[in-house]
Amino acid sequence: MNIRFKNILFTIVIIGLFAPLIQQTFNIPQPGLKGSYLPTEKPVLSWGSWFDGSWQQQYSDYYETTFGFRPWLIKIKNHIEFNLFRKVHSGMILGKEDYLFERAYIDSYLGKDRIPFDSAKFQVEKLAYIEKHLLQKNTLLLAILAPGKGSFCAQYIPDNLHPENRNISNYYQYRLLLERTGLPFVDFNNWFLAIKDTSTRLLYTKFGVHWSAYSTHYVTDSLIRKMQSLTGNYWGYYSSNNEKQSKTPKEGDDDLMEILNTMGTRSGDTYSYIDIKFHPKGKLPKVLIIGDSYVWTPINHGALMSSVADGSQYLYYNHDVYTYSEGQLNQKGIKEKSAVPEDVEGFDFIILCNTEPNLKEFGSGFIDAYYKKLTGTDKAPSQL
Amino acid sequence: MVFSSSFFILLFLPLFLVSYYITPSRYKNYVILAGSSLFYIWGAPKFIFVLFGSIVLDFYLAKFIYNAPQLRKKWYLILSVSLNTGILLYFKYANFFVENINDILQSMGYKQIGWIQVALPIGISFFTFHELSYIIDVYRGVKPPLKKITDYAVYILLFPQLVAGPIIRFSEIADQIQDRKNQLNVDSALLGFFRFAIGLTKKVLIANTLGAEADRLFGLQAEDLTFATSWLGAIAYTFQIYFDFSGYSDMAIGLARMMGFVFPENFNNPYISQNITEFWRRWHMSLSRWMRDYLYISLGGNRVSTARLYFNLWIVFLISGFWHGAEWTFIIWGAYHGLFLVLERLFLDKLLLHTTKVIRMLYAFFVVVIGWVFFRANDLPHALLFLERMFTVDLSSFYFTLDFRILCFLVLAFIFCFMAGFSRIEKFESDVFTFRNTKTAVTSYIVVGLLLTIISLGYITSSSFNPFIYFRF
Repeated sequence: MNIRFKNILFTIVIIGLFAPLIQQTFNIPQPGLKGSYLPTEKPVLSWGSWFDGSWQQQYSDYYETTFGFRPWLIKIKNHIEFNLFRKVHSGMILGKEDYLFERAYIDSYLGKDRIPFDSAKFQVEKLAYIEKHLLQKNTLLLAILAPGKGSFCAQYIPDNLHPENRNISNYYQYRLLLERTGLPFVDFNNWFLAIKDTSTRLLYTKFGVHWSAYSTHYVTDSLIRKMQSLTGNYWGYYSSNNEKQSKTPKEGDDDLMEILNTMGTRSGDTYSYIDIKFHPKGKLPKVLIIGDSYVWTPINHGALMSSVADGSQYLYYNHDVYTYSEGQLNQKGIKEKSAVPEDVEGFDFIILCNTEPNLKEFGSGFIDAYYKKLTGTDKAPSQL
Repeated sequence: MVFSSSFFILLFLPLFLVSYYITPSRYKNYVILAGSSLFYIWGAPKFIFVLFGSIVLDFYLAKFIYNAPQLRKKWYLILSVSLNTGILLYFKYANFFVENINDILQSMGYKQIGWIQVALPIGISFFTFHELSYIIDVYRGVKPPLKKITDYAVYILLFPQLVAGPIIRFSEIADQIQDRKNQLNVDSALLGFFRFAIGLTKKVLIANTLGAEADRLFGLQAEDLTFATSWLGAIAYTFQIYFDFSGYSDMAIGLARMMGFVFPENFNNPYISQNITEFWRRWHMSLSRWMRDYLYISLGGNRVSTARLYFNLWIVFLISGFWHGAEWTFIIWGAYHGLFLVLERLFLDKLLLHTTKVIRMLYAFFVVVIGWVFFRANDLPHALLFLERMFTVDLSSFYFTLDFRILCFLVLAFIFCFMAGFSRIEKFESDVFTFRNTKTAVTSYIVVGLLLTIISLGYITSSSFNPFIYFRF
């Protein structure tokens, strides 16, 4: 047989082995990996660390996470694992009919992460104190109980997790307490469940962890109506048109599948997308939103920030600070959770929004921080 | 550095191979020396001096042995063997001996010996055996000593076999160290790469998957360990250790082939053996050969009384077990296999001849699986607990759902382990690994090899990637 042909073949092998190094050296574009992860630091070399072998281990670990074409290799492996063996990341659950869940959503639905009732009661008492104080400053407080995929898609929870063995959840506790104290709140969890059977469009997607992009036009519309009813003012309305159906999800609608990082697995669902527009009529309120990732969907797909004034802020997990100005929401930095924004009483509205798994820290630390700032103590309002 | 890492496959290996191939023949050994030294230093920088020191020592001792009169030859041999085994005993077994002595002292009410744990140099079991092989082969006149210390260093440091074997006797490789032009060609390179890819796949896909399951089952608390889970754990480990070890050997043989070295085979479908004697002709063959040539024959081999022969066999296996690790469980494993070897010679083989091939294979597999429980268990009480569960029949314990992925790999492992029990398939397997000189065959080797390498790399690198959907603070 032709030696030249064999030499070419072996050259291909060598080039294949060098390909990642070539990609890294020349920065050849490649797709990134989805999901949040901490990058590995490149280790600093010293005689000591070389001699005891720690530098070599750290460098090998660093190389393991940074070599070229690594995203492709991970995607190939995850594609095989998911499609052949139905395997997902730890922290994720593959439910019936291929519904993907984050484990935390199932645990919170089942009440496994429930905080003691007294703790929840204490939080709501503090919130009521804060609300009373803010009212004196003409600032309104509004709590949002966002839906959770564990509740909305409970019928797809796998049997081995025993969805029938449900305990009281944080959601039920907070719902009860908010009702009792008369604090203004919107229960989107209950509302989504109420319209679940009659909705002709997906309110939750098979592969997403958040409410669907489509559903957010209900969310923003309902929210603006609630806010306007609390103030008695009117500053505009939402309209929606130009609905489109697609087999390809937009960003966020299959975020769980995205972080599985496969070669591209489709759910077969039909996604609906709609153009949402806010029509301002009057002075827009300056709003401070403190919430979790559920807020992003109304921001990205529900034109939420179009209905608020410049200077409004979004504190993502009460940690990342985003400020709205001239039609743009930009990150301005980060803050400690224990820090309260200096101009907190300068907002017209303060909205706290959490989905079920995050209700164990309802308010993302804002309630504790602001209450401490106001009272100088952690004691209950009744003890002040 | 391990072969089954992205760092080795995508950085060290291509850089080494290119350096090796472009270097003129007379300097290739220096490239091997540099690459192998870097390979060892990367994992164990402190111990390279132990290795270099023993290389220098043994090289000159071998020269003295070769040139010395007969009586002094023996003394030099004794000196070298003592030094090498002394180094091995110290680094690998000192902790074990001191711990056991301290246990005895404590039980007798005496004060324990103060001792700082000794760290174990990587690969010491293997390079010590290589050094002993060199010295003994020179002493026996099988091969003259190498003229250049750098050539001897190549034999000891050669990275494909440095840290995990196969154990290459000096006589098997002596000529290749100095001249391997006939083996260093593109055919060897292609076959070597294919062999490496096969080994990588065996290790990463099959062994690691079943190993994780074995770890889980061997880690169960006593109250959770049942008849079913103990057997599942034992069988998972049985397959894990085969695919792990044989996979690593395949990678070593493949790497060596790419460099022009032809290593002897280390495994030959051991689980199709029909008795334990045959098992040891198929399992870790390089160790068996070493033990036979340098220990068993030194003890008298077959030229002793029957009782002495059986005793020698048992001792060799006891030492084999001890060589694997400084734990009582390894010693018991070795003694257990030695016992069955003796029993087979005594009467078991004659008995088994009256049965079928399948029964004999089941017998051998059963004995081996039980032996692996000792090998894998954390300690002797753990091994005994595991065995106790394995022999406490409880069919209701099978009522559990086996993970589909584990089941697939168990079935795959079973097929690959036992299919060679059929002579036609054994021949086919042999054909696959014999280089066929057609365009289709060669292209197939490379395409399959590259695909397997890519998939294996995916599994290697994914183990460190488990992202959150969003950060939570």
